[in-house]
Amino acid sequence: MSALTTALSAAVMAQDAPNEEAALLDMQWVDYAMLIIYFIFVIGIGWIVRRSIKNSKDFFQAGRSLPAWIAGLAFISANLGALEILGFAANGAQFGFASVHYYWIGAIPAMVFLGVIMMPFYYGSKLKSVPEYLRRRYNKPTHLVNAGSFAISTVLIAGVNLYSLAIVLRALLGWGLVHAIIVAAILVLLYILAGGLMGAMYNEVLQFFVIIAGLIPLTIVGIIAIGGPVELMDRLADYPAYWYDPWSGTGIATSGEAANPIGDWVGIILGQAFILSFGYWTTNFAEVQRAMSAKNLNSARRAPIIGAYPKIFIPFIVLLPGIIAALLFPELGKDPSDESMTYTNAIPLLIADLLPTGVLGVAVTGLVAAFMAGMAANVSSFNTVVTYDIWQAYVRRNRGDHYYLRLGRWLTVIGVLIGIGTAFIAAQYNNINEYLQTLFSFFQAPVFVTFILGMFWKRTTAWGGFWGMLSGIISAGGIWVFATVYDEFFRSSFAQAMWMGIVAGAVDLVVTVAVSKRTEPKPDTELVGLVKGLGVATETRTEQTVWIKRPAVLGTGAITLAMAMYLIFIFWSPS
Amino acid sequence: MSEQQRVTFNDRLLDLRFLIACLFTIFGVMVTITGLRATPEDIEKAAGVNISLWTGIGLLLLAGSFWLWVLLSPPQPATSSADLEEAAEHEDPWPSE
Repeated sequence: MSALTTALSAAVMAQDAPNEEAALLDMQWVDYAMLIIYFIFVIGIGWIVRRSIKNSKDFFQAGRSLPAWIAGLAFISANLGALEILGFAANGAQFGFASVHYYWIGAIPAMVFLGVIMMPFYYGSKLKSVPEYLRRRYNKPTHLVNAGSFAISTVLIAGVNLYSLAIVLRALLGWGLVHAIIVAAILVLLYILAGGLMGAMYNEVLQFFVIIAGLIPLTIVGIIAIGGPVELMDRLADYPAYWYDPWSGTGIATSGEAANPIGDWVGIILGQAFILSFGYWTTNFAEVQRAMSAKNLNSARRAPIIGAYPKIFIPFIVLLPGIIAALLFPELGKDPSDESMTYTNAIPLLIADLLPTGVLGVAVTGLVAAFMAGMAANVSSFNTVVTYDIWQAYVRRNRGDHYYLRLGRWLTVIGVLIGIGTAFIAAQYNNINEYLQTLFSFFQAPVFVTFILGMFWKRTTAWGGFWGMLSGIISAGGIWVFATVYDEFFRSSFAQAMWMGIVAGAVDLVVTVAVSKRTEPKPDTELVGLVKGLGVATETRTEQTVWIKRPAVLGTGAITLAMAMYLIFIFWSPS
Repeated sequence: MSEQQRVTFNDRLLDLRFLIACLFTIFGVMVTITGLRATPEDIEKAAGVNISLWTGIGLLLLAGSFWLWVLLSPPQPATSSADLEEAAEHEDPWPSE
């Protein structure tokens, strides 16, 4: 992510120096009109939803009233920010299809796991947030470490998002950096302030369709420009095998040209998929909050699984344009000093090269929408965690509902202001982003193990959970120090992150078990609904829904489809 | 849902499917018209395809499917979260035994 902002800002600096108006795109009035109409809709949605916000539950949890399809699409849209889109396109331009693993073996099984296995613990115990699980299952220190690090990281990442949006708007449209930051921040502020989580989520679903509507024509024109899908694959024959066969070069001992830069198979399956992806998709509150706003347990469980189905196909409109850009612009990424031809510029370059007026407006609106989706998800989870997990839990306990509703609105303003501040700081010191991202990844690395032990091993004690999580975080930091000293040890930064996850998870597991054996567990009465076997929602009720609405059925379908996607590369490969 | 309450304009506005249908109808019309008026340069730029026309038609189809959905299952009358909670109790797919 931070590499992206660095590259983009460098690109802009280079273009900007002579004259401020050096825009990459030739936007006609139709294209601008679409952007403006979209902005009107965004604000309008906030204003419409505003009238149904009556209490704090409406504001922070969308009244727990949304149907599964809205929760599900908002769930993936919150993650389909522009940093994600431009970042994965850059990956495609650099390594071909090698990073499909992040989707098919990383995200999809994790989203299904959240819906089928973990959601009954969250939704069934009427939790308001994910960190709250740690407070009730373990103790206050465990909860504070998690809630605090989440609140800080999410609001700072909102700022990084905002800054990246401004950079792209400046490069594509020639807008001034300060104007772009302020305009985007005010739009996001207005619709969350008015509509709360529901305003954010309604907009995320709208954004989802606009993003898709922009990326599909771009990909199709790109494929045609190359000469069709067969020709495209044939031209990949000149590249290393992992470009068109994602499992190629993943042997542990593979080295040199053939080595898959994403990682070895142990790192991909155990580290990326099982520890990091599961940790992100099942415990990151900015994501889980969307599913938890559904109207009943069955909808909440189906939401992430409904989101998983479109997510399976996202690589074809994100990675594939990157690959097309690499084929159309052979000079892309070759010369590090040429800042306008960095990998992260793949999609903007493709838009400028291929899209005529009309579609151009849709694509630019989609890109702007993607940035706002990313930022809004961060701000709307920040205000919830700070209100419920910090303020209500530790500062002012028993106030009226109106107090917390007002607090939430103020925190939205504060969150956006911190975001704007971070965006301006990021504009000055690019390295700060990178260090922040690294620091937050330490906190995220072991968290899945702490949750899963809490849910499935009754014997886990409060202090076992705390010390396990803390030593996991510290060992993640240790791996980073090790990798900084021995910088040849891991084959890539991706592989380094995967093995950091494995080590942090293993240390967390060992320490949690060891400490739990020596400390007193909580009595069963305090763990009702939080631990398997102690009255979790799915255990106390029987499911009476048609088969197509059963999470296990839908989930099995999603995982099967994701695994079957790998078969594409058997039939679709260079001849 | 035994009693048929009247669906107000407010309920329609709160229906996300309606909002999506509106936005994509507007976008669809704009892009289709742009496609119909595409210059040879526009078509040449997009690898010989009148991509605006095709995208416009695609957007209108998307909008149409949302219009159809709204028509086939009209929005429920607006409810406050308290009402919804009650409704959720009734509709709970997992009644306790």
